[in-house]
Amino acid sequence: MDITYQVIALAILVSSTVTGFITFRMLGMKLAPHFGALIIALAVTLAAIATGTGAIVYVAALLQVIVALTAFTQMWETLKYSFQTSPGYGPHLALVMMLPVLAVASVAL
Amino acid sequence: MAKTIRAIGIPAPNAGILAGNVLKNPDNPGEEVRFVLSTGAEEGLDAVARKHGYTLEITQTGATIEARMVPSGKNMEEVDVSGDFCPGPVITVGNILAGLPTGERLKVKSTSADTIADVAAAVTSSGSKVVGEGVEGDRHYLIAEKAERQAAGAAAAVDRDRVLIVQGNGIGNAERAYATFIFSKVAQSMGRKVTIFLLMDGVSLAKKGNAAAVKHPAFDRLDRLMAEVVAAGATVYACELSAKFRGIEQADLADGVKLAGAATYLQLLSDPAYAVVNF
Repeated sequence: MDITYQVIALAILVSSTVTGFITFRMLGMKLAPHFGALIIALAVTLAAIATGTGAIVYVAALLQVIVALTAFTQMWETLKYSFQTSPGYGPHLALVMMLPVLAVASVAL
Repeated sequence: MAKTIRAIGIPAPNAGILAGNVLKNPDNPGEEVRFVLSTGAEEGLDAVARKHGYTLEITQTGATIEARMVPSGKNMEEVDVSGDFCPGPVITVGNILAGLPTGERLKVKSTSADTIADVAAAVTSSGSKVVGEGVEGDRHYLIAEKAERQAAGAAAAVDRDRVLIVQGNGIGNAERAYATFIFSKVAQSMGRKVTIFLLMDGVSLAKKGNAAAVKHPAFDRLDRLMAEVVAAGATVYACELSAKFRGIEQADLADGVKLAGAATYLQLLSDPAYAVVNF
């Protein structure tokens, strides 16, 4: 278990709050589940880095995967039919897609 | 070219006798002859047409009928645009009409009523006329008559009592999607007739169920707002080309939404009765 991956995940989560806020304002309340998951993941990741406790790192990793999943479940219809507005939410999707990789790395390596 | 003879008020069988005399002594043999008659005066005209080697086609327009006598063997040109989608049918029909002499007619058939409506918009926009529409089996059709575009006269006073809202962002931009239907409600409350044209990403709103996913805490869910606007009489068109781009078919459309082509959009834009709002 390498805590460095969780530090990188934290940096991505912090950046994601900014891109997520922009996306949230464009798409409305349907992003609420994703935004909630992102905030919880941010708090738990902070706790994992602060304590270094294995169990909290596992929970943080799981939440980071959920953040990426909820981004797609909540934005799938928009992705499917809206081409011109994609630059608005593209950065957020690109950021959260890094999280599952880092989550797996933090618990497996 | 075709000769048109107005004989309103002449009843049957006198109308038939008149037609027989005209067909017996044509100015230009082989020329098409049209009789504009009162309803009911067409009785017996089919026998007159056959006797002189013509085929009869009847078109009802209000209280009058038009009896078209086409020399047998010379049929009205027909084109079937079934399966083709915007802008294909409009371009096909435009090219054929461009090659026809003034007064000649073209029958356009399609399995899609929306395609025929779009072709009708293109025909009238180009200065020609739609003289008949109907359904034959599984085909919708219209009959277009080639005419020259009239030069614009003195500017006529037009009541600008209609609003065209062009929506190009769809569910990818909640604020613009809400604004489309909130502005529509305002326009309707002001007694304006509202037409909404969804194109590009805007057609995402036309897909059944998509608008239900758009919600802002300060407003009602978007699909409900959309249904209210449609129920209040708004016409909602979805661009056929944009829908095809996104794999949205006729069966996927939300209630009250119709597919329309570029000709309908351009006709709406060029209609001075419409104030145009873009979202």
